[in-house]
Amino acid sequence: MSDRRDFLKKTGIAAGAIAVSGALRTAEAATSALTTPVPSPASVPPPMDPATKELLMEALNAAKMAGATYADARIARYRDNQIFTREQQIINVVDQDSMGCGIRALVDGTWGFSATRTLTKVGIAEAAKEAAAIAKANRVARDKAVQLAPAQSYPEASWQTPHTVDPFTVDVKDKASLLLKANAEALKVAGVKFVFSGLFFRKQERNYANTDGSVINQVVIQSWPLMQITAVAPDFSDFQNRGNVVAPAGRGYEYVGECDLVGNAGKWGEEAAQKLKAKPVDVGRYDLVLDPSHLWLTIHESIAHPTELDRAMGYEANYAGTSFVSPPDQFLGKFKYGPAFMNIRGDRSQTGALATIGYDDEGVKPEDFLIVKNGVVNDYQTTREQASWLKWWYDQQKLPTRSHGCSYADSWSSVQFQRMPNVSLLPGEKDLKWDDLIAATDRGIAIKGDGSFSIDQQRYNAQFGGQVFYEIKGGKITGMLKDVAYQMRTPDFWNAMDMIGGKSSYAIGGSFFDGKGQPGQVNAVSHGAVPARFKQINVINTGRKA
Amino acid sequence: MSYPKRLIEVPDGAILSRDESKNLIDRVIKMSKAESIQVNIGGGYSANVRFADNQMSTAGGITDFTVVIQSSFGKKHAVVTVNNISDEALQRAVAQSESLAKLAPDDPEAMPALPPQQYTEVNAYFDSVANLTPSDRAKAALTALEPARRPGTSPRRDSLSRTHRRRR
Repeated sequence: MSDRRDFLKKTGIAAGAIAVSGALRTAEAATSALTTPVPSPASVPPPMDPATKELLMEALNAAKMAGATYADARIARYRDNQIFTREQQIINVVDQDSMGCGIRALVDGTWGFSATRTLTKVGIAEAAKEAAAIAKANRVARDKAVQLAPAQSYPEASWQTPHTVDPFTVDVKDKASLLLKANAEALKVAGVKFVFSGLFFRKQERNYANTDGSVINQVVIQSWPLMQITAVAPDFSDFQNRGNVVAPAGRGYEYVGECDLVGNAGKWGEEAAQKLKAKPVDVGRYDLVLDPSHLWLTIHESIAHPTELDRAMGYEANYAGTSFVSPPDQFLGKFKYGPAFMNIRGDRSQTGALATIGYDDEGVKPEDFLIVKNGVVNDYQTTREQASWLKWWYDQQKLPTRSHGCSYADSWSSVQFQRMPNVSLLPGEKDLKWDDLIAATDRGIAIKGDGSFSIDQQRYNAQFGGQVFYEIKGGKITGMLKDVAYQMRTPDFWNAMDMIGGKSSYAIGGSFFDGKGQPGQVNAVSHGAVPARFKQINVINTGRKA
Repeated sequence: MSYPKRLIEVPDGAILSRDESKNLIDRVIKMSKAESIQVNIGGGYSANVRFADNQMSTAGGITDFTVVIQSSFGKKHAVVTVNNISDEALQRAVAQSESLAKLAPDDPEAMPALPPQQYTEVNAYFDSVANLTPSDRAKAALTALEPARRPGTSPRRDSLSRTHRRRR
């Protein structure tokens, strides 16, 4: 009964071949669906099929029989679909489909993990035993026992990304024709010589159970349309790119329509061509006005990474390094990250954001939390294991010691660990907008879009570029600049923030590919922000030749 | 090619034998309606152990493989990857790679498929690696952990452990 074939049938996967599926929605139809409302987040996926639940229970029982005091199991299907084009041709189509079961066992305060693609009772029981065996073997190298912060159990819970069109039901031909049309629009612009465009989609059907009694199924859908447009100077002396044009989102295919690549490609092409004629920036100190489409990345690198608790505690050093916000007892409630109006929130609840989820990969229902409160470090991103490391702080604050729901694994075959939630700069009290910030600035540079960057291994010294740069003089944008990058020391930079936008100027940016861990795992995460102004920041010219 | 007869630490079925691989590939080739098809199977069992802050953090063992199917029509080709080897899943993947291939532009560098080849045997299977137990891996980690745990070895640890102490 409970074999892979059954799981396939019951979850309706067998009907899912993208190129042959029946009720297709064309790209054109989706483009005209601009006004389609986002469905209510209360919408739920189909209930977990009994065969899958039986396998999950088998995993938990086998782990307990093997000595686990706690175990959790995930049976999940992870799908990726990508299409890339350039100018008037398709360059690649990628379609990946993987399913299996990952089991984590805690024995005597030590973790073990095992994963198998063999979705039979025998295969899963063996994996559970192996997870427990690995945990026992690791006991010899244990220093402190793992303690899980208490968490509520959810015996029958489900959640799915609010969406109207599942990207995996859209014909790849429609995806391709949308991109080629957008490319053609960009190529109409004088000076535009190259266009790269693509669509990334993910769908994760996650079934989860733990020995605390939670049984949860979720469907996560993510979409990312991308374009990079290159303009070349007539004498080949320069080329300029306009890329990262729209943010990736926790949305369905309807989001692709809303982004209106075909309608916007000409505008982005013009921006690329305009950059060719832009004035190279003069180095020096400027007041920077940063758009959310740019600022999300600065938040990601200089606030979100250093407040991952495992980095701060020295458990993670690969990929993005450790953290200057360490040790926590010298920072929590003490360290002034920025001005009093600066509030940075961690959440997995914003509609349309990439890290938004109903329950994390250890069954915790996340609550929003303030990482920086009134300018001061207030909390870190945590899992159940990590929350207990900060019990002293939560006790002091008269708060319960509980996980912030940041546990995540990028596949059934990867062990879950702490990953970034959505980390966002909250709006200010006054409802200021981008134009208000520009109008209030006498001599500055406005930046939109994220560009290349570099940051040190403790997230303390950094440099950020962007996509488009405008000179501000006397409260007005006077023209375009190029070759702009700013340098910062994290606390100096955030403490130089003196003006931020209000609610109506809030927007979300994000990344589909945030790396961490060993073996490496990829997380998708969004960062909301309002436009913000930073006083007297050092700007360099990246185009200067030695 | 030498394959393990029976491995204690590697789960049953984790590593396909030559015959099992050949059977799987033949099944996929029979499903093909393309001018040519290329099937690759990769995977097996992988294990890892991590340690930080002077103790173990995560350790795991993973059994998986992927079937990579490339269908070609003339100079057009496309690849689909799947880890499900049920008939339905393989059939779907084959059909999908064919319809994607038809959509793909001509690859100017495409070469016709080679006729069957005689391959040199490659023996990159080492019992000394395959037979490593979780306990062997933990002990290997200990060779680094034990010296690091000695007092005065790591100033960073002294400062970080304040947070640990406070939680007690």
